Amino acid sequence: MDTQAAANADTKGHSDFVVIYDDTGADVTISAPAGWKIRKVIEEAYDRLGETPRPGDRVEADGTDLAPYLDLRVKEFIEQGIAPDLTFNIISATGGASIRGRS
Amino acid sequence: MATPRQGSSRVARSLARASAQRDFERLVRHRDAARFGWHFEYDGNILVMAHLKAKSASGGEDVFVVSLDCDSYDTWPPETKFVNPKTLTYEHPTDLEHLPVITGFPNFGLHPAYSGFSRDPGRVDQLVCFSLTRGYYDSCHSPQPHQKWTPGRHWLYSTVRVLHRALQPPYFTGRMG
Repeated sequence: MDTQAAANADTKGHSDFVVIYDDTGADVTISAPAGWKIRKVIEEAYDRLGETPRPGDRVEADGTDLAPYLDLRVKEFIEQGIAPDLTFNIISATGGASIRGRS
Repeated sequence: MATPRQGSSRVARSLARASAQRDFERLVRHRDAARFGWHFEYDGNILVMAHLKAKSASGGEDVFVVSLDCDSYDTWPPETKFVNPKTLTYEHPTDLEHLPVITGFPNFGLHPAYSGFSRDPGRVDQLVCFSLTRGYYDSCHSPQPHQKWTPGRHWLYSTVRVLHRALQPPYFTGRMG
């Protein structure tokens, strides 16, 4: 287990994930049992943040899209070293259509 | 009847200043400021300067200075420009080298010399274009409701965070000019 991840895990096997909601800058810490799926960690974060998933939302860890890892258990996720600092960002889509002016 | 002009509107200076000061202080204290090495300066009025680190896929690192002008904040997002770190302004084409090259970042445009601002048709200026910058609204865009700048929900952090992501791999590739 990564040193940082180990520091975030308590003696009962829970690991603390920090989840930041990029739209508002709000964050929550989710203490997740080793058997939870990453999907559950994120659902819990939305709930604690008082947010609901929006069209185009994505979750990243230091730029890595977490979509392929949502069904990993917390224990497996940590062992694979995917996000050593256990910090996730929920990113909402911004608008940015084509423009009429010239550049 | 004349058609109302699209785009942002003026905000009383005292309100804009109070909002800028409040959110500058929140920004400095935010955990991501330390996490990503962001540095901010505030002129005590409506101008916040953000020093943001950039990283390319090849491992190259750089720092860009972004001016966040809160003249219409927070009814509207900050007017956002990459600036010359010495003058803290942007002159085209002299300051082109102080702009990053950002490729493939979704819903993001960086135009070194844009013409077509709705409030000032004669204006030619840099446009950083996404729905959390004022220029986006002053260049005739209409975002989806859930993407629209929302005072009390969006703040300086929201804008800075998008800029930070755009300055990371694989999107950031170097400097213009």
